[in-house]
Amino acid sequence: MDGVSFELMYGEICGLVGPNGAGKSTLIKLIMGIEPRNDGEIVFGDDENAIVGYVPERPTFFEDLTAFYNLYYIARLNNLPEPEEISRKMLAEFGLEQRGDDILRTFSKGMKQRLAIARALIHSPKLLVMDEPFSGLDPSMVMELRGHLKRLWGTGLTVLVSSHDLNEIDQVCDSIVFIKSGKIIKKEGFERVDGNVTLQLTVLNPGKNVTNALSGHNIVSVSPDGRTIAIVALRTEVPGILKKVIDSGGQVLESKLVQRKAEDMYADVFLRTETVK
Amino acid sequence: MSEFEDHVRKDLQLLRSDSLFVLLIVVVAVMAFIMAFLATSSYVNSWSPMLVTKQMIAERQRDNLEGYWVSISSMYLMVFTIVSSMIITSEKENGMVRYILTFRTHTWQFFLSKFLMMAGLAVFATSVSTLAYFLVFAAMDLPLLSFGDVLSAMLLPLLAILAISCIGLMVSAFMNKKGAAIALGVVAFLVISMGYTFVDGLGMEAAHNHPDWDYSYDEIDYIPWQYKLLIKINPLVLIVESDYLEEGEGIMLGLGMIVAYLALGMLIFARERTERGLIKDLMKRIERREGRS
Repeated sequence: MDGVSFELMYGEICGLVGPNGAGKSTLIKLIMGIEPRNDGEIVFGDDENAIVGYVPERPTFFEDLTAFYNLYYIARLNNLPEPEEISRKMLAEFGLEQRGDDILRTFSKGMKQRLAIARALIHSPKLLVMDEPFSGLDPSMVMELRGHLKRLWGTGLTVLVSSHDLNEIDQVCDSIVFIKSGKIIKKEGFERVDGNVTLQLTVLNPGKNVTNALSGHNIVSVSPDGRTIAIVALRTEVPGILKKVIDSGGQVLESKLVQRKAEDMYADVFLRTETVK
Repeated sequence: MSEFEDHVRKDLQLLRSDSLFVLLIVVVAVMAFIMAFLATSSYVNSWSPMLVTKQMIAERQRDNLEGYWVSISSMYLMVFTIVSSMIITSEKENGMVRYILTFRTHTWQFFLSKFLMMAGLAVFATSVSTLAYFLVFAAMDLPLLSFGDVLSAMLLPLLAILAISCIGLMVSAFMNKKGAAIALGVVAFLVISMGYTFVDGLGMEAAHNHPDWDYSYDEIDYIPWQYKLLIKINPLVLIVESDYLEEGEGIMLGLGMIVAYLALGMLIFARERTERGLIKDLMKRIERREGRS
C-alpha cells in the first residue's frame, strides 16, 4: 500500500471498490491492526480509543460452541456490562434467538454471516469494517444482508464495506473509494460528483427557443426527437435551468436528476482510464 | 485478570466440546494402568529370594518406580508435544486468533491460557499415572513405598511434560496449519529425544579425550560446558536417570525451562498481531528506541 489517504464522515457508509489484488483486504487488515504498517496513521476523529467492529471476508467462529457463547465471549473480552443480556439481545436483533443455543457447525452460511455482523456490532463500535460481506451468498441471503445494512443508516455508525458487487454498493453505500494497485484512485459520493448532477429533461415542444435557453449549459445528450435532454450542471443551478426552459415556452413533461451508478463510476475510474492508456 | 479468565473459560469450553480431548483422557488413563501392570509384573519377575532386608526392598521399589516413570513419561512427552503443537494452530488455521486480536486483547494472556490447559492435562496425566501405580501395586498385595514417596516421584516427570508442552506451544505459535504443526511437533520430539543421546555421547567422548581425565575420575566433570548446556536445556534430562543433575537441581532446572520456553513462546506468538517476523519486530523496536534517544 502506498499513498493511501481518505476520510470517512461520521455516519457515512462507504464502499471500497477495486479489481482483484488491488489491496482492499490489505487496507482493511491495516485498519484493523492485523497487518504491519511501516508508516502513516489511521485516525478515528478525536477518539484515540475508538472501537472498531470487523466482519472478515470469511467469518470464522468457534464452530463447536453455541452461537450464544461465540457472542458472549466477545462481549466479555470487551468488558461489556451484562454480557449475557447483550448477547441474547444481539441474537434476537439478527433473528437468531431460536438458534442461540445450537452449535455453529449446524448453521447455514447466511446465519453465520448474520452472526458475524451481530458479533462485530456487539460492543457498539464507531466504525464497522466489512470485507466482502456479499461474497458467496445466495440472492435471498444478499437481500437479507442488505436489509441489515440499510438498518444501519442514520444510526451514526460509520461503515466501510469492501465489495465486488457494484449493485449492492449502489443500494447500500453513500460513497465509494476506488483502490488500485495499493493506491487510492478516487473517492466519490453518489449524490455529488465534483459538485455536478445530471439533469434529464423531457420537453413536449422542443425547439430553437428551448435550445437557446439552454445555451451556455453543458448538454451531454439529446434524444433523436429532441425531446429528452441531459444536462450536467451544479445541483444549485437546477432550479434556474428549469425556470429558463419554462420561461422560453418549453412545456416540461418530466425532469429528474439521474444518479450515477457505481458501475458508471467504476467504468470511469478503471475501464476508461485503461482504454486511454 | 478478567481477560485471562475469559480465555481460560473459552479454552475449557473448547476442550470439553472436542471429542479428541475425551479420547486423550481415556488414552492417558488406559496407558497409565497398562504401564502400571507392566511395572508390577517386571517387579514381581525380578523378585529374588536373596532380597531380605526392608532397605533392599525399598531400593528395588525405587528403581522400579523410576523405570515406570521413564517409560510412561517417554510416551507422554510424545503425546504432549503433538497436542500442544496443535492447541493454538487449530484456532489460527480457522482465523479465530487473528479475529480475537482485532480487539484490545493481550497475546500473552491468550498464550498463557493455552499453557494452563496443557498444565491441567499434564497434572491429570501424572496424577492418574501415580494413582494407577499405587492401585495396581496395592491390588497385587505387594509391599509398597509410602504414598508420599510415590507422589514425589511424579514431580520431575511433570516438570518435563510441562517443559515439552511449552516447546510444543512454541511450535504452535510458529505454524498456521494444524498438519504442519503436528509434523513439526513430531520432528521437535525426535530432535529432543535423539539429541539427548547424541549430545550425551559427544560429551562423554570429549571428556574421555580431555588430557586430565583418568578412568578413576567422574566423566561429567570433564564434559565441555557447551555439551552440558545442551543437555540441561533438554527436558529429557529431568526424567532419564542422569548424573548431570545435582540433588534438588532438577526442580529448579525444570521450572527454569518452563519459564524460559514459555516466555519465548509468548514472544513468538506476539508477532501474530502484526504478522511481523520476530527478528524484524525486534529490529523495529530497537530502531524506535534509538530514534527516541
